[in-house]
Amino acid sequence: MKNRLCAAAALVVGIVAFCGSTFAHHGTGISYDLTIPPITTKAVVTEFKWANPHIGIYVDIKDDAGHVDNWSIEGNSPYNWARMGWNRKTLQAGQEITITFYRSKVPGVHAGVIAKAVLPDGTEVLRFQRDTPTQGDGVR
Amino acid sequence: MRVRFKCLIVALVAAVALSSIAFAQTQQRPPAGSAPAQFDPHDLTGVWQREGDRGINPVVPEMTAEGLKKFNANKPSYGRPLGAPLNGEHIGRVRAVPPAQGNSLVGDCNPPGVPRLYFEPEPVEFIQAPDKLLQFFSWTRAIREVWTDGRSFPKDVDALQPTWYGYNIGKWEGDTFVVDSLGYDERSWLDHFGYPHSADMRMQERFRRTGPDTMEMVLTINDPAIYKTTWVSQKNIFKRVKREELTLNGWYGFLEGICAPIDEGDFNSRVRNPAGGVNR
Repeated sequence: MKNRLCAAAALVVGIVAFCGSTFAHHGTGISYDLTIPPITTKAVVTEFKWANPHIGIYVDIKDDAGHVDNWSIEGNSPYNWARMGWNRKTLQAGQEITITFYRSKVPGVHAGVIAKAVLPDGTEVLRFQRDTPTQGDGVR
Repeated sequence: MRVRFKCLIVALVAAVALSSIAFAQTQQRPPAGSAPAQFDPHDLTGVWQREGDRGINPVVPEMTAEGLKKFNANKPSYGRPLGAPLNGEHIGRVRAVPPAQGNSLVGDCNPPGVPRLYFEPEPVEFIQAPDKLLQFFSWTRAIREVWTDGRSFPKDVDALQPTWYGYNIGKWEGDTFVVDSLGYDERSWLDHFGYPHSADMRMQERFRRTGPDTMEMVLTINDPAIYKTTWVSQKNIFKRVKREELTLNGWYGFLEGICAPIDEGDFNSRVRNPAGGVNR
């Protein structure tokens, strides 16, 4: 148990420290709350816009009451994600995925920055960062 | 006939060997009196990626009143949040606001200019021509000309159009390629942290090859209207980018890294602005 707690603490510290240097390229660490655990939920892709310098992921997410909202999720840059093996066909409109993202710091706003997505076949895609993060990753 | 054929083979082998030596001699010019280098120190061609932290140098010279005024007017979105503990850092590292509330011209796809473009996490290609060195930046696909034809700076440069990428003159000082530049548009920021400069800024970059796949550069900002002393950068290390890192679907080359206002405007209105608490 103690080991698990230590691991969790290390993960949080690591994420925060990591985000300070890499997520913050153009305010990613400023607009979104990276200090609280990200949201993981089912979502239906409504649009996947692969464009420079920021990729936009738009998804419908159903809340506990069954109400559906369209969320705007910030992605990485085409340059970084292309080099990580993903492309404009990685997500397609209508696809049901599991998405993990950090929310905007602004209460009530349906916007966030992605941590990762999981396709119906279990493939993990669109991690914000590379497996081995380096300074210079992230969005502008 | 067989003898003639053998002679031909021998001649061909010799020709190839000699031409290889000759090529190697033209490509490698080790400085006199030192061990032979495995690279030509006067050859900067190739695709390079700068490594390390962004920015010129965390140690910032004292600013003038005008400099402080411009610095405070700039609202960057890079760094740690405005108001975060300084931890011994310069205030410039701790004043980021959401991009929606910032005023970086780059947020609307205006040119980053130099030196800011060096600090992007995308590579730059150096192409040496007889009369100039071209820097081709992957991000924004900007081309910067550094003239090596012995020219002087333009007369009455203030009368000319200010530039995002400078009026640049390059020359070799030993094995160091020195780029002096001026004529910059004072609206650009020196880096992502929003450090300003004036229209009278003079910049010098000193490039030096340090190995077959490495290069270093130190830049100096001289802008007495903004900074009371010269601002010398940390040593910028550039590493050669491997071909496979820039090959996608069998196609080698830079991706088209253009910041198109039509795309960025869409992203800003749908993602960045709401996320930053701004509706526009």
